[in-house]
Amino acid sequence: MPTNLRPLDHLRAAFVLVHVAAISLLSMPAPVGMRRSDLDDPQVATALADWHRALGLRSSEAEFADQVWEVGGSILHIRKRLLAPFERYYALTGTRQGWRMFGQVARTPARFELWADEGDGFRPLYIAGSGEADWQASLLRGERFRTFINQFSWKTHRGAFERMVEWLACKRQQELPTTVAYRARMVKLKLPPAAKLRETGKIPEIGPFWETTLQSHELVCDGSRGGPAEAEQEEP
Amino acid sequence: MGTLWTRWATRLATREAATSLALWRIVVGLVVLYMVGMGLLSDDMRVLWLDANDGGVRSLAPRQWLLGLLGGPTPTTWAILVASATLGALGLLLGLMSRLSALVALQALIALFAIHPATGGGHDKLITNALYLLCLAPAGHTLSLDCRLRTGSWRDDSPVGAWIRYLAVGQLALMYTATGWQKLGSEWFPWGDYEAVYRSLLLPSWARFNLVGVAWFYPLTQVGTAVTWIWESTFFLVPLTLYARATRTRPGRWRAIANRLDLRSLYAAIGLSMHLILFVLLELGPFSLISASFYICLYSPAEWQRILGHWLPRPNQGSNRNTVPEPKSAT
Repeated sequence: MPTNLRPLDHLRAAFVLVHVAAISLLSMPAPVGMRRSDLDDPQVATALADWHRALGLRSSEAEFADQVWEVGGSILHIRKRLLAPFERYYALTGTRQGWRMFGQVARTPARFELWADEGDGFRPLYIAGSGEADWQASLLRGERFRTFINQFSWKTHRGAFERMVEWLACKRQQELPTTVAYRARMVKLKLPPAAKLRETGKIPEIGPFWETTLQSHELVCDGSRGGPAEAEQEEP
Repeated sequence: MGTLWTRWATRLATREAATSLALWRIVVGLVVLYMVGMGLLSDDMRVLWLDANDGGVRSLAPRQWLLGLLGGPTPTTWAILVASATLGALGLLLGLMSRLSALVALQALIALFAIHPATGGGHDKLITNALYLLCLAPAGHTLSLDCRLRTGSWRDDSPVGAWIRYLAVGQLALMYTATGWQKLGSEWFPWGDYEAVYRSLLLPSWARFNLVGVAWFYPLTQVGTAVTWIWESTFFLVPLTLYARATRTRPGRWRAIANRLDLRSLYAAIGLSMHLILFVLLELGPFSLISASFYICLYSPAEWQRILGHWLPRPNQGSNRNTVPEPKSAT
């Protein structure tokens, strides 16, 4: 190891210190993107209740939820101010961090389904995870498309969902112009305990949400109905 | 404070052969090629990254500077960026103008990922972080076309700065630790019956196959849940262990333990096993591959030269003159 440090060595040390500080700050846990209403979501409420119980708190569950919201908000506020000087650095160098991965695993996930009526009633075209209804499976099971669809499981970005459904319908219409109508939906599932799943071999459905029906003559397939262009932003 | 700064700067001024960096460079190049290849094969990279007017799924209005310069998310822009990312990755794989190749791939991917961030994931960030470090690293110094053209040999063991390898280790530790600390759902803990892995394998968004049979392996998934959380949340111990091993002449009980027990390899074994299982059972894109690539940097060039032995080309005779001899168990 060198014993006499040159100016370049000090410069390198300073750069590394700043870089490590920048990426560490950004990596720290923060409830980015959360809304107050998210705490009322059954899955989140259950998780909070579990923590409330585990911590043995004297406050009520509602008070605990409020405290969590306040603390989260404070963290985000401080974080935003600390990160501001580094925003340009992250954008230009691709050193953005964001490691919220499977932080909360849904007990009630949702599955995308697309059905088509070719004149003899609706039949499934694509059902996520199905071996039979696998139209455009190589596309819809592509990792980025799965990620795109996954956001709908949390009941966010309905406009994007509607647009995706119409786009898929147009794609099918090109293949089979005689198709009369399309129906798409997200179907909420309830993951059962392992013992129950061993017994039944099936994951029960709770029910659909965002059910959308499109008549083929209503389809606009020229791209002009792409929805309001959302300027996509990275998480701060 | 002065002593602390001197130790910090001195440690970062360490030099070693570039073997680890070169191996990492090659694998990162392969991972980027894999990602682009899979995206083109499924076509999701095209339809999700083009505007609705050009056949894409939805309207897009990204604000990234390079996209703006190229005229927005048009088919031409998309083609230029995908081609640039591919060429950059090839350059990394072959070790041709490695830093420039990394820079080209980096900027192309930053722009592509910015078109529709809702279609990205942790792997996108890990890939761009890796490419940034490779821009700074002399990763083409050995096991590269650059080396061959410069020295007449494929291998040059003359020393380069080790600090990029340290940053790669730090990035890996940061990712795992941060993700572990953010696993706060009750399913990761005893009061949630350690159900997290069991549930993850049944999520329709990510499961590759119908995995209802996982119910028969529930106890195993519970062990997996507990191990995953502990392993991730304590991964920050790995760089601390490596530091302790590199400063073995100094006193301390932790230092003594770290030099007797190779904690790094234990963590690596768990991590690689976990990533293999994830890769087989879940569709998470190139996440497992790019994460695993960082593990290369956990081992020093001398260790890789011992592990790979005859698989590596013979070093250039001249390069050995300047090689800094490494202590026996240097990391």
